[in-house]
Amino acid sequence: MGIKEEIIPIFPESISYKLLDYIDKNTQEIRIKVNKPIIIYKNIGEIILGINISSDDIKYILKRISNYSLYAYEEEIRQGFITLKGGHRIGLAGECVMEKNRIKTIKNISSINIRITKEIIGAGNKVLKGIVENGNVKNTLIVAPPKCGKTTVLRDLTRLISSGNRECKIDGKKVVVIDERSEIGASYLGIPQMDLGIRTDVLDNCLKREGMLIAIRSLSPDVLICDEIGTKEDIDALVTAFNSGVNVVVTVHGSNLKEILDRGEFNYIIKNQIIQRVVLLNNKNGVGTLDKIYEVSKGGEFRCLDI
Amino acid sequence: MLRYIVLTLIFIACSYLGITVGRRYVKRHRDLKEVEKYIISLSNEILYNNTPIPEALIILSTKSNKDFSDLFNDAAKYLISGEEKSIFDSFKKSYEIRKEKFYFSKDDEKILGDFLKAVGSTGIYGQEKIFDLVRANLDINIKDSLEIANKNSKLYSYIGILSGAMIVIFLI
Repeated sequence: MGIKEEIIPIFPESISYKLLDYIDKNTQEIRIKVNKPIIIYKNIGEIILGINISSDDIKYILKRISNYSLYAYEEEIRQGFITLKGGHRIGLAGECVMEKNRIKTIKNISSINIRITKEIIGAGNKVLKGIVENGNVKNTLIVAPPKCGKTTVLRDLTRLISSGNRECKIDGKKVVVIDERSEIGASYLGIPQMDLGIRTDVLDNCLKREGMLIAIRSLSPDVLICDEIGTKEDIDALVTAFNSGVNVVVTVHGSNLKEILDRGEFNYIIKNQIIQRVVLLNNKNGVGTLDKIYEVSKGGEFRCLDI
Repeated sequence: MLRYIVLTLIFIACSYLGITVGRRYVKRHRDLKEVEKYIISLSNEILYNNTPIPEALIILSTKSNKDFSDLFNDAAKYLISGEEKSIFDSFKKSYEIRKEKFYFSKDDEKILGDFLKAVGSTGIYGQEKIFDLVRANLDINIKDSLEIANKNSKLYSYIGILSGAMIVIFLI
């Protein structure tokens, strides 16, 4: 299925036929707000459409994206997003209902941000060269700001590591993907819709910490793949994986190395050489542009690799 | 000879009519029992497996008898394609096509309609309450339908047979 087939049906008929002309493979985001025009972000810039959205339109879109079943997306809504079939992440904003200092749910949703997922075969080729040594995958942290292709690169790395790659002299490895938001594999009914290679198991919709422990216990992976780690629990699970002899490739939001080192948990795993490679991405030459790959040596010293 | 054939036919027709009308009450009870069974299955899919409604309906359609299976299948189809805007509208459209195959009363339809307007629209806790409510309401109607079926199925059968016999006697 193409982007149009996955995205257009979630809109009411009165809007969907107008959107048909604007959505294509260059579309990155569609932003929708009550009583405001639809804004489409493409790689050439933004397009403001003369279509105003009503609250009924938002309710209809919500019904469609939740498959008429809000209960099935309770946890996701609590976290502020729902993942659509095809792996497209839909961010939600509205009135937060709090309970014991925690968001219980979001009601009266007034903004929806649709981020289009793209599968780019080959996006991870350059990165793979920098993170493989003697046929083994090094523990890697991929750092990039939002919309710079972290997930796209991670997905392609998964495929390359799982299927093996002659150029990088790596045999296929057993890979487990902890896909908390269904963005890496875009699983539908438990089956990944993206190519993740032939030796990949996917724990879809699974909390990272829980998923890492399940994987170590029962799936005997060579490599664990995880998107957007950040909490202390995630890091603890990462350390457990490291201690179990499993290699990890994970991503994190960030603009540069200093920003990551300033965060205590990440400082710990880098200084203790749990992370052996740090990959920096940007979007200067398109999504997923490789900026630098650093090798982490003893004491947390960095050496920029020549790729 | 022809006279006796006509009289026999009148008697059979009246009896058939009476029995058919009586059977409607039995069939209503049977349909309500079936619906109760499907609501329990649906609640299992929703409350324990978190299965979205369209998929849950497809699963239900594989476990149900033909008329209900078609009803669930079509409703799921309308939801997936976006042809209808809500679960209630999808079921309404699917039900209208095959309404004559079911024997629900207006009150049964209202209970199920209210349920279909609310299912899927809240979190799990809300769904539990919605299922509790529909099952409590259905229980009452199932009990009523059984009483009515026991009373009316015999009553209408007798009325049919007796009125057939009366007409035949009158004509002789």
